[in-house]
Amino acid sequence: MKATRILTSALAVLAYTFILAPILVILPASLADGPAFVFPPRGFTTAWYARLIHDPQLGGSLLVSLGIGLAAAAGAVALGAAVALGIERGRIPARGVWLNLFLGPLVLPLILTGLAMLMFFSSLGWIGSTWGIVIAHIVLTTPYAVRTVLASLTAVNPALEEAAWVHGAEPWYAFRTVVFPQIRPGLVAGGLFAFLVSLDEYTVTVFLTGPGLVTLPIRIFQYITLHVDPTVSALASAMVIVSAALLIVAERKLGIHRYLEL
Amino acid sequence: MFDAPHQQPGRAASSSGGPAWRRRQQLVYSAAGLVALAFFFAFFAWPVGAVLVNSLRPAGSDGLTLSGYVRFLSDSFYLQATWRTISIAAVSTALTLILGYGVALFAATRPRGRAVWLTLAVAPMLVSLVIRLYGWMILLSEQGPVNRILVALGVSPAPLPLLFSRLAVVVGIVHYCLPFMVLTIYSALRRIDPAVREAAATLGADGWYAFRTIVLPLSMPGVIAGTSITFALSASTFVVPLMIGGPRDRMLSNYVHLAVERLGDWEFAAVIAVLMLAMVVVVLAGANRLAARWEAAK
Repeated sequence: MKATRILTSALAVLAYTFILAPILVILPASLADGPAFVFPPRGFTTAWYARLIHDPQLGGSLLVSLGIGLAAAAGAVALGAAVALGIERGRIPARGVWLNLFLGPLVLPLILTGLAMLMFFSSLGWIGSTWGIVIAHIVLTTPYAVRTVLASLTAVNPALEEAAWVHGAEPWYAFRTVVFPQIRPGLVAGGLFAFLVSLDEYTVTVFLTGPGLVTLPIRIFQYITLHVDPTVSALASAMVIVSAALLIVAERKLGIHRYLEL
Repeated sequence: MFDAPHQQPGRAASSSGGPAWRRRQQLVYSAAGLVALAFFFAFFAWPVGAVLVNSLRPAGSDGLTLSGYVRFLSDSFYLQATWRTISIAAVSTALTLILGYGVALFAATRPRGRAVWLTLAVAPMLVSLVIRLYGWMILLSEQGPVNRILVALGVSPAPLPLLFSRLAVVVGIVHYCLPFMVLTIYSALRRIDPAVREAAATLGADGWYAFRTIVLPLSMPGVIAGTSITFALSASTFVVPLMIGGPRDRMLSNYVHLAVERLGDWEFAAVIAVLMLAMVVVVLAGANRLAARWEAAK
């Protein structure tokens, strides 16, 4: 029994090292004095963080991606709520087919969606336009919002809303005061997932960018592969720290793990 | 994974006719749903449909033709790329299954702090993939920590060319897919009634026997779902071979991109993308049938 327990712990340590190592290694690398790919570093410096603050390209791309991420999250949450309410509370035939359409972007190879967006938006002349990327990201992130809103909607009793309607509440009033508070956790969680997916999207977006419109993952890719610039280590490590903080806050406030347990 | 969450017990009663307020309520929600449907039709279903049509309409041909598909299937270069994609995806999926099952079982059977172990296992999902792969570039580089450990342990006399290799691609894919595998298997394990395991232990089953005869069969739906999702994700991965693979480790997604960027041949890119979709659909449909058979056999 004891031997099994030691073996289990040893394997767990190995597995979690594999999971977390590529993320944790970025933190010391961002302070490395010298080339990024020598580890452990020869010395330490905060110079890359100073360079990061003054790097107009990375800063510009960060702003572009934050803006697109917020717009995509807002769109995904609105659509996700409309889909979930329509499917769960409306009278729509063939709900299953519908749900598959809205979850489709999760199943389709991303490169196919990217090609589809390229063909479609180029026929509209929207390549290199922020709107093209925002719409593509809304399509890609709506499935997450559909799932989280459906999860919170199926957990509540529809009779509560019916009671409001029976008592003569206007539709908007009933929605605002009864339905909205019930699905709020699903909306927030869906928005958060959508924002994070948008911020990370590469495969589809790479078809839609143009000169002067480069999102953060694509800019980071350029920094890493075209000219290995250690400034990117500072950015990567800052993003890891922000993600970790976001995860902790989201877990405390929303209990994110409940949405993880499918 | 595509079934609607559990049905409302009251739906059958509430969905037909009823008083005026109920019809009005359903109308409002149906309208909201239809707006969303229109958006998805215009910006998702239509563009994807256009890819299918374009794959049948190579440049310079009028009318629909299968010549793009014939070109793909008769070119050994692309057949090799297809085989490479399938074999990389298969190996990565097998490794992800073994590792993911272990991690999910470990997290699900912790007496305390299950949520923490699970969250820690899927935490990489919250970090940008490009940044995670940058982490792997640092780890696997010639003077990186993995090579230093290998040399220090005497496994290899000199640093190995780990980065930009087939091995790096598999490692990257496993790391990318692991959270999805852990989540699906973890959910299946959590659905097993603890009383069943306790009964087995009470009746004298040892740990391994109870696992083999009870836990593993009951978690099979999660294994099937996780394996099919992982294979679909692995076979369609684009960023992983792009960043940490070499020129000989390119997968089908990369050739779609190259067909657009280098050849400027969007129609041929469409052919490759449609074949990738077919592959994913076959795998997911097969897994669905397997899961249904598993359910029926119980």
